Amino acid sequence: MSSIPLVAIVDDDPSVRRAIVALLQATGYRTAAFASAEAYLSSPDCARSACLITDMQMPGLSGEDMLRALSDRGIAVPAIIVTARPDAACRPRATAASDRHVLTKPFDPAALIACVERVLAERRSTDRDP
Amino acid sequence: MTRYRRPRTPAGNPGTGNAESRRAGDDGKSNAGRYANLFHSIGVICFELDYRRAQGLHRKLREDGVVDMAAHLAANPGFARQVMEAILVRDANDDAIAFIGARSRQQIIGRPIAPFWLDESSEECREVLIAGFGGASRFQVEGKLKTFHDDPRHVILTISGTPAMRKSGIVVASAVDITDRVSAHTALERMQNDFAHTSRVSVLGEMTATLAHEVNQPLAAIAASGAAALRWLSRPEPDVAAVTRTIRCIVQDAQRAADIIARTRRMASHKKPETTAVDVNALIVESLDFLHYEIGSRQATVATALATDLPPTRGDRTLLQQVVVNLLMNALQAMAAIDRGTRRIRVSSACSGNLITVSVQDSGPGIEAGSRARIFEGFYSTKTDGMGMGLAICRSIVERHGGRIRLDDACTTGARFCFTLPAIADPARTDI
Repeated sequence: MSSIPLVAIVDDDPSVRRAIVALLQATGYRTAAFASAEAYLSSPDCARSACLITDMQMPGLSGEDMLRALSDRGIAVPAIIVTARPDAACRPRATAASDRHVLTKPFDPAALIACVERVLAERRSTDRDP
Repeated sequence: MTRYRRPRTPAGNPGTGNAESRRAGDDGKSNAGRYANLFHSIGVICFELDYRRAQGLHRKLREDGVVDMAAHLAANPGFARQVMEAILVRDANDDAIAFIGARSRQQIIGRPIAPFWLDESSEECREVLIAGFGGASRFQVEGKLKTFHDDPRHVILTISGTPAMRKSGIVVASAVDITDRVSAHTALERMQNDFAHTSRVSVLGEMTATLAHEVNQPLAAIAASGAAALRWLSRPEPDVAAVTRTIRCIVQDAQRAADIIARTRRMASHKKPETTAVDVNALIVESLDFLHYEIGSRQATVATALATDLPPTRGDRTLLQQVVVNLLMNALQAMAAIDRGTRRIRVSSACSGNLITVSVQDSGPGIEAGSRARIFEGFYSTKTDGMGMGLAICRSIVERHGGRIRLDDACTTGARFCFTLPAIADPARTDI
């Protein structure tokens, strides 16, 4: 496995998905992008991602449904929520994903990168000190 | 229908008398008195016109080889004025004098009729000239006349003359003043437009959250792509290919944001309706685009069955789109109470004969039997927070376009609304 962390992006909006991928790649991360929660959950990248950036409101499974499914499977991937409707993302209930950050669209790109770095740093320290 | 009261006989004017009898005598001595009585007492605005000089002008044109008055007018717009200056008022009844606002009969007798036309280049004036040149014995046109007080009046003008009268160069012009009826109709149309606009704005109001959501997507993408491009540029070896790709995305996303705003602005616009050929399928697709986020956020799915080779209809695009958007919004709201996975809308278009039919069906609970008859009435709503104007406005828009709207009674699952619009065979025509 490469030492460069893999960041997964789940957003049904192609423009946003493409732009977040560009931002992360320009910053030096590896990326894997998905148009739906279902696509992400059925992908092998689901268990491999170091961090997950997701929209909340999507057709089919919502972001919240997806986080619940991940936690049910025992996959503890830290999630960053990027939403155009902060009210809809308001402290998603009953999900086990504990490391959660919420950004509102349109978000400050530097804030997203800072958030990704923070999440990855927390993850590294957890890995070192289980 | 005349608008004004029957006027008093203007001072110093006998109403009927020898002068009138003598003039009318041109049409045959035995009928002279009867004609004069009728002319003055008929209760309709009547002018007797001396047409001889105009006939002279017509004769001269024929000698010059002119056969097509429409073409002649198109080439010589000043000719209309020339004819109207040549036609003189021979007599006018009391109604005509009151209508035109003259102080006395003498004030208009012997004067040309040119000043009474509001606009000599108007279509109605053109029609009168063409009919006159063609020698029509009776001709009717709707148009605008102007009084001595510069007051424009809408009238139905009838110009008639027996062959004998015409031979003597006389025609009778009678007018029915329909100004009040026309302005009532205009006021009604304006009110309908205002209502339609209010309803469009209220739909936009209901969609504020989704519209903001929708615009925020391309904005978020633009910001992230911009930051990505800067990062690629600031690398020791700038990745020009990646920067180019990213900037291209920014341009596309900016266009997308602009499109959302343009669409919203069209919906909010309050302009006078314009009649054009309208592609109904394109209208449906645009309405679905407009509600794309609303549909997505309510977790509904939409299936379309649009007829290929659908002929266009004629009408105002914004108003017709409003009908489709209103029906879709109603469908979405009707399905709020049912399970997410079962919210389905089906939109179809079809054409049979000269009638285009559009239907919008939802999978909601349907309309209760007791409400069905009243659903298109204004201020009637089955929703707790409904204004009750949506379907009433749909009906007024559809009917203005020569169509009908109904709730399909045969539909057993959910509600199915159908509306028809007349198909037009030749979209290039603008006279419908």
